[in-house]
Amino acid sequence: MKAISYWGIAASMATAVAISGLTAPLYAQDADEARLLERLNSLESEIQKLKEQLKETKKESSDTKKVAEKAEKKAIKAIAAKDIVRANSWHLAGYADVGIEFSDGDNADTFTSGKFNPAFHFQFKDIVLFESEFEVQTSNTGETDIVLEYSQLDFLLHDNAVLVAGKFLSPVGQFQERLHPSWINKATNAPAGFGHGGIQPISEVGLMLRGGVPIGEKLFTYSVAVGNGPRAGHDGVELEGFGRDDNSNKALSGRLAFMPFDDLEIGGSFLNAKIAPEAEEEGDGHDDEVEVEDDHDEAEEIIAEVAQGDYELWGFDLAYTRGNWDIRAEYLTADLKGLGGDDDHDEAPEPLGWEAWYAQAAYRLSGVTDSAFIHRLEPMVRYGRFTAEGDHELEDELSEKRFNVGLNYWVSPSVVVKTGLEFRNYIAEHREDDTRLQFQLSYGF
Amino acid sequence: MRKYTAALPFLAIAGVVGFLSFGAATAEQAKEKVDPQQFARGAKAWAKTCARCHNMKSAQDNSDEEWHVDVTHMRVRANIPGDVARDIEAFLRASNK
Repeated sequence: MKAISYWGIAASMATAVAISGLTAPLYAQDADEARLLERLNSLESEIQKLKEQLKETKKESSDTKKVAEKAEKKAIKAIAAKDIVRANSWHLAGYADVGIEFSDGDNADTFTSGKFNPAFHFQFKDIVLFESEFEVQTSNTGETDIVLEYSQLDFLLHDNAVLVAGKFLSPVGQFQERLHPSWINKATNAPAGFGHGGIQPISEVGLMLRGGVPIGEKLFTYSVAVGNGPRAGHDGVELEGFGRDDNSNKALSGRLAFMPFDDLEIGGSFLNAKIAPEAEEEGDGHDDEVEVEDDHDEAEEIIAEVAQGDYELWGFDLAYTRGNWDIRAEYLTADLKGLGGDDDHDEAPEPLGWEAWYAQAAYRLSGVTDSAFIHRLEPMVRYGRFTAEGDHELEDELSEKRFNVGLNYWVSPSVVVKTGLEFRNYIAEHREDDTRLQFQLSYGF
Repeated sequence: MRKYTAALPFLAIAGVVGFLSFGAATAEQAKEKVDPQQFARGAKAWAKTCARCHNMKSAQDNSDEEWHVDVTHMRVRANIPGDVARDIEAFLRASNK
């Protein structure tokens, strides 16, 4: 048996270790180079791709630029092609409506003649606009009623300021000034307390400064009016523009609004006025009546001796109009204190108060289905409440809760057929509640 | 004294009117410049301003002169700044042919 040479094995192992120790760095260097080459190839490939993408982007950019230049040329051409407008120009606008109403209450089922409201606009350059609107309708007794809704001169003072003079729609709130035309109103009538005889002022005679002021991307608007103001009347206070004032104290009213986003408008309104006691056009012999005559001097003198009431109104409103949604809410509250008081006898008449609010939502079904018919439909819902306090007769006559649900069909953007159910819940116990089915066709032109 | 107090709002308005009247001439000069971006600004303003209260009528519904007056009417009623109203008018008059 051949003896194992431990020295030989040791020598062989030492040689092997030495060889592998020398060659290992060489193998590692090769691997690094291979990885580097692989990385370089990868980078080169990525650069190539980026170059191709850049080329495509440049081409797209060039195409877009060409389209933009074409659009710009088209826009310039279109703007330049506009007709010359005469220094004195005019426009006839307005709206009209007709309707039918079925009621389960004391009221008879009836056709309603509706209203015809022509509006005339005459403009001299960009300096002044005269605008006026009549409301013509057939009364319940068959007579033709014509009311001057507004007749105003608008002086375009500045991009952010217009001075309005004459009889104008009250800037208080949003319904009366902007939403009451029947082709704009989502329901067939006004919310409780927001029409004639309600809490919302209808019109004013005097001066108004108004405009819109951009604050960055947001818009702030203001309308501040000084005018003859309201008068005492059948429903407590008549909030319409009177051609002549019955006291020298002028009413101050207005609305300030802010649009934090394009779709949202938040507004606050106010009205402060002195109210003289109700005057009679023709006296019937009562000593305590105040008679108003043509020259008014005597009547104003007598009124000055009687305590005038302080009328204060404030409220807020909001509108959210995004996409198919049209959501609005409005709140107004007012009180009248000290009317007809007698300082000598320290008599303080009971203050009168009014409060009204509504919230409504409408949704246009365009885009919901492929049906062209359904696209034109717009369901709506509105709930509101109007209350009066301080006089039992007034409370019974005015206070009610009103719920409307309706479906509108838009023939065109300004022609609408409305159907609606209206539930009137009178707060006075002796008044029977009333449900009405209403149809209305309205055309804004 | 009461008479003078009642006149204060009118004096205040007269002061504001006097101050702001300087802007009227400037606004009239500015509108004569043809601005290619006005069409785009007008289209955007038309879409977002008019729809706040009512449906938007087609530009073809009115002539240039009618739009000129109608937009001024809406400028007053809706408190639209004058420069925005001019953009809207330019868009409508460029789109009604």
